[in-house]
Amino acid sequence: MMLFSDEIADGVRRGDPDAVGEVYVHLADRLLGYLVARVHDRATAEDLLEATFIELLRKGSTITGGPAAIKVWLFRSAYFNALDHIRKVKRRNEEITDDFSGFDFEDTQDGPDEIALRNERRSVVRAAMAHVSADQRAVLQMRYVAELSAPEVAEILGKTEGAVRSLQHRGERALARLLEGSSSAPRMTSDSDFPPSAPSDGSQTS
Amino acid sequence: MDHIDHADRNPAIAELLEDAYIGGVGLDTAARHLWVIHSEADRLKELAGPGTEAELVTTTAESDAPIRRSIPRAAVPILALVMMMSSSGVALAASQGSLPGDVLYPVKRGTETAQLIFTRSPQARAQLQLAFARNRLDEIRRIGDTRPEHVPALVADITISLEEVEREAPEVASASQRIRQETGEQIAQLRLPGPITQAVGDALSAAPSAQTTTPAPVAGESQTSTTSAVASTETPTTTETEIAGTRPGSDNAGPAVGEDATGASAPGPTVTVSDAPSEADTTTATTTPAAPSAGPSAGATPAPSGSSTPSANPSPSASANDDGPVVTPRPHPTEGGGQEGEGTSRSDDDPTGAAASGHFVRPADSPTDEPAADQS
Repeated sequence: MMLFSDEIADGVRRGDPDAVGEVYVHLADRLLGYLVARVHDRATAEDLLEATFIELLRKGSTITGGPAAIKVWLFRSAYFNALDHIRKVKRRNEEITDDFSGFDFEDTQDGPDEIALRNERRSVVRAAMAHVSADQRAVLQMRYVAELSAPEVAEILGKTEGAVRSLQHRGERALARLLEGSSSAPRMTSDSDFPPSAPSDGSQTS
Repeated sequence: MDHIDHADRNPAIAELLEDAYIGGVGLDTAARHLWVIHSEADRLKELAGPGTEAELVTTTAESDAPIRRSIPRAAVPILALVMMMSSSGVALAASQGSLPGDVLYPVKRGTETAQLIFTRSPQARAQLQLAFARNRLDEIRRIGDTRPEHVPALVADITISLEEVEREAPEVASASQRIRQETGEQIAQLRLPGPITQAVGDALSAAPSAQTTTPAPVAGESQTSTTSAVASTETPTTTETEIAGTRPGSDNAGPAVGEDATGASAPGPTVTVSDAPSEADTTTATTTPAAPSAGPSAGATPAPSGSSTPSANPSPSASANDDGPVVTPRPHPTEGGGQEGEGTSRSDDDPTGAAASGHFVRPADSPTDEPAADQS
């Protein structure tokens, strides 16, 4: 998957709304997913998404670097926006399992069985994510949902790259353990539960 | 450059987490956000640029009125990308065959509205609206027997579209007339139940008479205020008439426009006396009684002034504000979407597509739409 072009990055630094719009088109899905993972509420995540892009428009001139830097900037901004929100609303883990409401849009083509299965799997994964440590969760969200590289995550979280990798691996193991214990969750080692045609990148944001 | 180290990611976990969290941004949400981005950019530009007299007004008045009128350039490719982006495209495609009453029907209509919002050239708009009117006619054909309760609203949509087509692009009036005629024939064939026939009659009669009576004077007025090109003169004009237009209170378009009108009218009164043309007052006077009565009796003459004045009025401010082509209904979507986004409290922001597309409905729809919706 290619990120947006250098010209667009230049446009963002000039405060060009069209360039910001292009960035939105490229990254909004992932950013929204990341925010949903952080705040557990789609409507709130959408508000934060909007706020994050408005911030990008306003402060784009302060970003040094190309598309990758803008991406990191966006996710860092989203990270702190979500953090602010979480601190304001002290209900972090309560509503983790009932937040599919925003996700049924894409499922309209599937039968009720498939929808139920998928929702079940999602709720299990989200519940499991709630039980890994906060540090591990933050790293997992950034590595997998935000698709940031380990150095980028390290930069945002203010940790060393080694610490990030270690948190990631421990988080992965913890998550796998939690999911193995659940009968309805797919086994971590088996790929047969997933359509082989869906690589980890490019499938969502193309 | 950014996805180089997938090697250190576990693909199974990636799959699980992406499925659990990444749902795709809905089209209406994306469109709203893009509007907000553009209007914010316009606002920043005005604040940074060499001072204009409009600024003083806007900074106090929540900066809604003049800025939102401008249309984001290059929004068309962006929207196209948004449509391709994410899984919402699937639902969009699926929605194209939907009929009124179907779950996906609002998505279909939302797509059409979005297309219209992002189309500037009058010719292209006319073509789109003709196509949409044809879609409505086709829908009437297909649901006439099974779901007749939706027919009046569809007829109202057709008349509204055709009315605008004939006003904005007289050169295709013949095509418009043909659709109108076919609609009439179709209705006649359907043998609808009594109350629905009544509602259909209202919907048919209200809009066409509007376009025959009012365009000339309204256009003239908009010309004069455009040439005067003083921001302060048109601010009161638009607010006055917007209030008049929204007072009857349609369910969907009402809140957004209404809020805006009240917000924008704050700076208004000081200037109203000096410059506002007297038409503003007269229209207020006439529309207020007219709109409520339009429902049951469908008075031919009072209804038009209520329905067409608010729609025609934004055009001067749109053209006077900044760039080129004047596209009548555009300003209001901008206000609706933008205001929604900028409001500090987002709790009342209804995230459903229906509400979003409701805000995109130009205000002219509200008076004429209302009777049909009420009676169905």
